Order: sequence, then structure tokens, then C-alpha cells
Amino acid sequence: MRIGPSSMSAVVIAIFAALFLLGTPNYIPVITAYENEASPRLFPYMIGTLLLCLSLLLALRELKNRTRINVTKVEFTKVAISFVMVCVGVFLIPVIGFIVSTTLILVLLTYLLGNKSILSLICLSAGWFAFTYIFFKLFQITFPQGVLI
Amino acid sequence: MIEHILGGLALVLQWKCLLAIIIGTNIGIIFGAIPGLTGSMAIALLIPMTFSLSPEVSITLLMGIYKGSMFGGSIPAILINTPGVPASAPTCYDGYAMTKQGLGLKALRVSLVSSFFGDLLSDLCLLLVAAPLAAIAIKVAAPDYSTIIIFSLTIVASVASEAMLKGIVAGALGILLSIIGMDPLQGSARYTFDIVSLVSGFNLLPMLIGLLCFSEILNQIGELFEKKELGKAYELPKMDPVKNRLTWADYKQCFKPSLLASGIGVVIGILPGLGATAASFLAYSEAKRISKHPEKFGHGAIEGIAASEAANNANCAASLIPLLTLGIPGDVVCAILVGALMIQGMRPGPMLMTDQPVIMYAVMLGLFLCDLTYRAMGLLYLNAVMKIIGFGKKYIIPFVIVLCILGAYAVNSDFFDIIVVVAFGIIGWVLNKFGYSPPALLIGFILGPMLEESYRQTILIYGWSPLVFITRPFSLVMLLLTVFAVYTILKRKIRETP
Repeated sequence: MRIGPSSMSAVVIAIFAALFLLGTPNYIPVITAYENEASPRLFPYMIGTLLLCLSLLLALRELKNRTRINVTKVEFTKVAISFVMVCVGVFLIPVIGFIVSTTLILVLLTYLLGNKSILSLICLSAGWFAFTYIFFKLFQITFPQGVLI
Repeated sequence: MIEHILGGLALVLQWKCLLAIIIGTNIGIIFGAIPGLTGSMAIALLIPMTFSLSPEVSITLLMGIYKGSMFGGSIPAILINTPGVPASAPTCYDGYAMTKQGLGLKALRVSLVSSFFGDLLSDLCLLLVAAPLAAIAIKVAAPDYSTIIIFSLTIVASVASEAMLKGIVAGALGILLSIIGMDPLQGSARYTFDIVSLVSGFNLLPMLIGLLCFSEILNQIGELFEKKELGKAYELPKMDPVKNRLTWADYKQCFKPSLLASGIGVVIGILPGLGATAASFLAYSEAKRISKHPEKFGHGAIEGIAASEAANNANCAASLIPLLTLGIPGDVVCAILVGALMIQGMRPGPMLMTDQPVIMYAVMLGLFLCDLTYRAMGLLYLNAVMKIIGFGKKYIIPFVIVLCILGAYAVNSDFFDIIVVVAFGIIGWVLNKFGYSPPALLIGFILGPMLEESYRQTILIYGWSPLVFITRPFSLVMLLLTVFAVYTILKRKIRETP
């Protein structure tokens, strides 16, 4: 699958920089205490303008070169599935707790990567459970707990 | 200085430090040996777990990983022609050629000895240079500091060697993202959108875990399916133990290139922005130039392996010099170490050597122990490493993903940090696919606040006139160095363009 021209990414960054510049007066309050003091908006304006100019320059150059990015359908699908799995797992943490959700992510990803053996998946989840428990205890880290667990 | 060194020695010889060194070095060798997993990834994952440890234990553990990974990277480079870390790429040329001749174990021994040699010289240099340089660095004023950071931003060019403009855009994007959060001088909230977790800005560790580890893992998943590498196993080639022994003549043959390469590695390590990969390639070409048999290079010359490995390992400790004396990360691993030091309540910079000299010397002496550890254990589990290389990815990838989540949460016990990891993970993957460099973004993110603070302090003290940067000798020298660095990079770029 061919995802658009490479210049698209530069345009997205340029839009981000432009929005940053436009939003600066609204999202950065200024308090002037000393005569010579530079405003907190100075650096955002400087870097925002620099980024805008560079990304537009890049967009023009990529457009001229007609650079394209190649991502195969298999690669894109598998990465997308993995990412969605992780996102779902992460947003389940406040509900089912850290250990259960991360075990879920671990098992599903291992299955996706081609390990279909039920026994090894059970061993893996048990191993992960034991590892996290010992690890959290050893380094005195608190568990992210969910509503259910 | 002597009493600080002795204090540091007493500290590093405690069992906790010794254990940390052994564990760290072994983790480093394993991470370095698995293509796709790097030492920087291991360090980023383990930093959040180190905040309950004392500073000397934590930093020596992480440095052990760094050193171990540099050697570990040579294992797959020699045995399967795949560098475990980018800096081991030149090792492939002669290492793999030797493996094909049944001399893989000898190549690994050369790599081990030369890595050890490079590391020792580099550690010695750090031990002797850090304190005097930090004493000079304390006298550096705000305008000088601004120009040092501008010079350091040329790092971006080296981490984005393939697409310079994209690298600079990524660096600028990193600086822009660093603006989010509290203003360093006035304390006013910038772009926080009333989100409490954003008041202190994006936390460095979750961001780097996302950009470096999570995005790389997504990349690995794509590549695994793309190249159909699932379940692919590698057979360790048969090697005759007698032919694979290192003789006195071999040691003699490796000495000169190792010494030259170590010098190159140290100098490149001290200069921010060039990195271990550049050191390794430069040392390889120099070793070839001075060799009596340059025609053997690429066909199994042990001097080639010695030069490449001595240079990339010599880079390790030397790259700590700008970090410990000026607070400027010389490469990606040092950028990650900024987070590790800050977790321990230590601000990287010249005051580190004044405020915490004993701990700093303990860390420096710990580096020597890391060298001894990987020298002793380097070849112990070669067969195990080969098995991991063959079958490990489908087990390791899910495990690293959950470790990313765990690591992010462990920093502040804040769920928002997990979201930052996932978000920057996908951003990093997209940036990678479009040819931008995530490490460049990270370096911009780290150096941005330093540049802003010193530049605004300059304005506050010296007024708005930019002449202050030219009238102060130190600033002028740094600006001239920046111009020279940019000129060299552009010249190289033009030469490389077909």
C-alpha cells in the first residue's frame, strides 16, 4: 500500500506549527516583572516560526522530488492491530487493573506474533504475573489498580 | 581529588554496586546481541525501576548496560552479519568474513579484547579530564552556555544523517514540544489546557520510552511480518577451537589499530553530536589506511574488527564528559542518562562534580568494573544468545511492550504517562516511516529548555543586543565552532549527493 506523498507529513507539521503560533497569545499568559525580561512567548514564537518555515521548505522539496513512502499492507495491518490492542489494554487498566490488562496484552500480542500454543501462552502469563509481582515488590512500585481488581 | 577517588572506590566496591554492574553488563550484552534491541532501549526501560536505588547503584547499573550492549552488538555482527547496534556495522565486514572461514570465535575474541582496550582508555580519560573540565565549566556564563547548546544542537545533524532537513525539522519539533508546561523563568503555564499532568510538561522518561522503545517495537512487528522472520533460527557455525585461539602475534597485530581507534573514539565521544557509529566507521577507515595489508580488509582482517570495536567502546565513557561537565548529552544514551540523573535528584552539569564528587568518582570507577565484567563473561553464553536471536523476537516483543507500560507508570505513578508512551510510540513510528529521526526530536526536547533558559537569562542580564555573543571570547569560539560544524556537515552532504 502506498501512503500519499512524503510532503504530506511536512504539511501536517507546518499546520501544527501554525496552530502553535496562532494559539500562543491565548495559551501563554505574560507577566512582566523586569524591564529587560523576555516574555514567555518569545521562544514559542521563535521556534514556531522556524518550524513553520522549515516544514514548508521541506514540503516544497518533497513535492518537487515526488518522494513517496512505502508501507506494505501486511506491515501496516499488523502494526495497526498491535497498536489498537495496546491502546485497548491501556484504557482497560483503570477498569480491570494493571496485571490483568498487561497479561491480556502480552498473551494477545504473543498470539498475533505466531505463538498459538495454549500451554506456552498459559506459562507466559503465569511467568509475567510472577515477574511483575516480584518486580513491584522489589523496587517498591505501586500497582495501577482498576475498579474491579 | 585523591580523597574523592578513594571515597568513590569504597562506594563502588559495596556489594550492591558490584551486583548492579554484573546485572547491568549482562543485560547490556543480551540487548546488544539481539538485532533490533539496543542498549539505549534497555536503559530507557530500566531507568524508571532505578529510582528506589541509590545514585551510584543506579548509574553504574545503567552504564553496565551501555558498555555491555556495545560489546554485545558485535556478536550478531560477526556471527550472522547483522549488527546488534548501529556502531557495530563496520565489524560485519571482517567479522562475518571470518565466521564464513570458521574463525567466528576468534573474531569474537578480537572484538572482546579490543572493546576492553578501548573502554579502559576511555574510562581513564574520563577519570582524569572530568573534574578539571567541570572546574572550568563552572565559570561559563549564560551567553556562553547558550552558544554551547547551539553548538550541541548540531547533534541533530548526526542522528539524522540520511535526511538532514527532516532531522532539523524533528529537532525543532522537539524544542517546540519542550515549551509545553511551566515557563522556566516566570512559572506561567504554557499550553497545558488545564491538564494537571501537563503543568510540568511531558515527562522525559515516558516520552523517550515511547519514542525509542515503543516505536521501535512497532517497527519490529512490521518487519517481522514483512520479512517473514517469525520462528527463523540461526545455526552457530562449527569452529575449530585450536584455530580460533588468539596468539601473541594476533595481539601484536591488533595493538596499533586498537590504540588509534581508541583515540578516535575518545575524541569523537567528547565532541557532542558525532556518536559511536561515526567513530567506528572513521576508525575502520583509518586502520585500513595505516595497515600494511589494506587489501585484506573486508575479507577477514582482525585489525578491522579491532579498530571498529575499540572505537565504539572508547566512545562510551568519553561521551559522558560533556554530560558531566557541561550538562550536555553527547549522544542518545547520554540524553537518556539525563533522565536517570534527574530521577536521583542530580542535575547534569558542572556542579555535579562539585556537589557529588564521591558519587561521580564511584560511577567512573564503576566503569572499569563494567569492563572487567564483560571481559570475563562476554563469551560465556554465546549459545544462549544465538538461540535468543533465532527464536526470541516473538516472545521478546510483547514482553518489551508491557515493560514500556510498566516503566512509564513507575516514574510518577501517573496513568497519563502511560498515554504519553503509547502516543509518542505511534508518533515515533510514523516519523520513522516518513524518514524523520525520533532521536533528533528527543535531543531537541532535552536541549530546548536549556537553550531557552540560558538565552532569556542572557537577555535579562545583558539586554537585547546580540553583540554579547560576539564580544565574549568563549561565545565567539563556540559560534565559530558551530559555523565550522555546519560547514563540514553541508560539505559532506554535498559530496555524498550523486
